[in-house]
Order: sequence, then C-alpha cells, then structure tokens
Amino acid sequence: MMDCFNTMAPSDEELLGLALDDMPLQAGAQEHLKHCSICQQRLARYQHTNSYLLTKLYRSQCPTPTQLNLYCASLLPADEATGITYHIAECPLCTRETIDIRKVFAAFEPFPLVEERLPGSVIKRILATLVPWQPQLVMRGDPSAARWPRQYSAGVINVSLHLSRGSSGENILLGLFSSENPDETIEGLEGVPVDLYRASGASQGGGRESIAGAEPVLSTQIDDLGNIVFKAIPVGEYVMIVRLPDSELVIDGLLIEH
Amino acid sequence: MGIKLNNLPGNMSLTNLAERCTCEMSKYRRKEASDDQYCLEIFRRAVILRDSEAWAVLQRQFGENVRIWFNRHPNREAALRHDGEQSYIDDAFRRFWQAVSEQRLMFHTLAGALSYLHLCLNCAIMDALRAYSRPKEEPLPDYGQSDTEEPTVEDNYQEGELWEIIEALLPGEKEKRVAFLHFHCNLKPREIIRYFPDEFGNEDEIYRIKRNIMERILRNADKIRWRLSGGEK
Repeated sequence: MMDCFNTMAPSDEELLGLALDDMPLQAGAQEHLKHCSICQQRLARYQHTNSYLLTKLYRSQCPTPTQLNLYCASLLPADEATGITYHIAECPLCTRETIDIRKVFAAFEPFPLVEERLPGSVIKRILATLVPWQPQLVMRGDPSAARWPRQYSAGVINVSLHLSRGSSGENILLGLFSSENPDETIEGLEGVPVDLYRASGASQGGGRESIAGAEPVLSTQIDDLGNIVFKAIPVGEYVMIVRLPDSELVIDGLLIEH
Repeated sequence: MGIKLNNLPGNMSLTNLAERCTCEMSKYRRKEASDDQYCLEIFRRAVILRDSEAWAVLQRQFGENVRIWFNRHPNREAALRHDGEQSYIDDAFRRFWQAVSEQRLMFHTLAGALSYLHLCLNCAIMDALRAYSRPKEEPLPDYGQSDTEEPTVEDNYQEGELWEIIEALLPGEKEKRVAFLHFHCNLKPREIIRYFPDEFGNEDEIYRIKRNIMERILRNADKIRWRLSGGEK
C-alpha cells in the first residue's frame, strides 16, 4: 500500500476513525479524499477489512438461540450449561437475550384465556356508525366507505381511525377517542381495553357475538390522551371492540389491505 | 367393561380424542379440574408413534395456542418485519417435531409439552431476529479498486478458527476484549461504555484500542491468511 505525501492527506488514524466509527474528517482532508485515489484505496482497505471481520465474526462464539432457550429452561447438561454461563458473563448480546427469554418464559400461559362471559352477565353492545367526512350519500359497497381516515360515532363517543405505515411498511392503526359531552373528559377512558379481532365469521349480523369465544389478534388500552395504537397488523378484515365499563363499542368492517 | 376400555385414551379414535382434548382445555381455562391424558395421547401418537394424522390433529388442536403466544410475544413486531405469522407457527411445530423425535422427549403433563412447544416458538423468533441482525457486507464506496490485503481466504474454515487467530495476535486483555465487543458483538464505543462502564475509562480509549487492533490485523494479514489456509495445524 502506497503512502500519500500530500500535506492535506488524512492520517492512518483519521482514516481508521472514519472507516470504523464514522468519525468525520477535517474539511481539508475530506476534500483531498474526494480526489486522491491513494487515500481512497487506504480508506477502502480499512473499510473492507472491518466489514469482512464483522461479517465473519459477528456472534460466532454465541450459543444458538435453541441452546440459550434450553439453558434458560434448565434443560442442558451441566457442562454445556457451565460454558454458556461463562459466555453470558462476557457477551452483552447473550445477556440481553437471556433476560428476554426469561421474561417470555415467565409470561407463558399454556392455555391462553379466551374471554368467556358468565351466563346472565349481559353487556350492552353499541355498534359504532361510520360518519362520512363530508355530507354525502354512502351506498352499500361504495368504495368511499373503505377510505381512511374514518370517523365513527357511538352515543357521545367519537372515534377517529387512521391507517398508517411504519418504516418497514407494516400497517399501523391509530385511533383517537373524543367525547361530545363537554362534561365528560376523555381521561375517563384511560385504561379502557380495546381488542382487535379477525372478522372471519363475525362480520355478518349476529356473527359479531361469536367473537365472545374468539381470541383477539391484538389488544391495547386507551391512553391518557384518548389514543390507541395497533402496530404490525396483518392484512385482513377486523372488528374492534372497545370494552367500556358498562357496554362494548363495536366497530366492524375494518379492512386492512396491502 | 367394553365401554370402559373404549374410554381409555389409547383405545379412542383421533376424532374422539380431539373432542375430549378441547373439552379438557376449556375446563383448564375455567380453572376446573381437568385431565391431561387425552391431549397427551395425541402427542404420544404424533411423536412416538409418528402417526401423521395425529400430528395434523395436534397442529390443529394447538395451532391457536401458538398463534396467541406469537401475538403476545414481545418481539412479535420485529419478527413480522421478516416473515409472516404462519411461518413462525409452522417453524415452531417443525422444531418441536425435530427435537422430540431426535431426543425422544417424553412429556408427563400437557403443560410440559406445551411449554416445550412455546420454547420452540421462541427459538424460531430468535433465530430469525439474529439472522437479520447479522451485519451485511457493505459495498465499498466508489473510490476505485480496493486493495486485496484484507485477510480473505476461501471460506472453508470455521469462524471460530478466525476468532482464535485474531485473539492470538492481540497482546493484551483489553485489546482482546475490545476486539470481541467490536467484531463479535458489533458494538460502538458508546455502547461499550454503556454496557461496561467499569472496564474502560472513556470512548477515546476504545477508539484508540480499536485502531491498534486494526493496524495489527492489517500488518499480520499474510499470517492470518496462511493460518486460515491450513498452514499451521
């Protein structure tokens, strides 16, 4: 590798700082680098070596996820478990994964509870009405009815739903609850559970009742500002149920498309 | 007597077993006394007897459990960025099958069997997340032809060997530690300080050590290539 004798040439240390840690060069050195093929090759050499070693060595000493899970479940032979204990003490990535695994195990429920209401405890259901954004006729099957954002009304509660996309293209459903009653603050809704169910078999008429035996796809709670967020919703049709203290507010026909 | 024998799980049809299993699971959810033996018999036929119909029943019977576990998993969103929900569920069952078949695992309670299935789902999610967190080799900037002095050789060695060679090149414990945290854990100096505030004085110390490591590796590139190609075994 040739050396560059130009007075503006960045030192090896400066180039390494750029290659390894994205540390910016001085303006003069940066300008020089743009035009100097020798310095460009010096930088490329550092970058390529670093990238190569990172790719080859990243987590090359770590136990596999299966080994870590078995370790956390105390299902590994003692000698293997000892080796992993030593590794975890050295490796922050495995330490973090071990903590995560233990949390997942602690939350394990073999038979996740399906919400079942006791017979006789009838909860009033209110079907929210879709409110057009501007006064207009909404026909059955009218594609405008499927547009976002949407405004729903149920008694004194208004719900505004917005469909958005995350940085990776995942569907995010945002909801804002407000009250028409000036005496009622939205803070009263804080903590109210909101569940999102698959609509299959539940979208037609009394079919909504069949949700009582189904498991929600996603669940959240209304926050202190009256907001809800459902992240990474798979494509499909959904029914949202807002579990108010004395009633259930049902919003159906939530079609999440690509 | 004959009726009693027919009620034994081992003598029951798969359809009847599935019905009883559903019934017992509902009892469990209602916190009533429940009997594991019907569900365990489905597991036994699927895994020990390798009955494909029993395996299909098992997947139908417990697929919803796995789906719910997945949807309640703290890394669900991250996992869904890489693959669909069903793919993780299928992978969990595949891993479960592989593990119980290879290790001849026996479960004495249904909760134990489901706990292992849950573990397999967690492995499936973690494997995917790890695979996608692996640093990708960045294309080099367009600065002309890159030098070929980096220690690349045919990829017919184990990564463990490369690590041992790098480690042996480094003189002190701090260099070895920084090399581990940089190359193996891909941590930036700031993250290293955050994780291990007692091991290093400040970020500058880590920057300096990293540069020394890299210079030493580049000076010894020939030696690394030679050892990786089997020159010293």
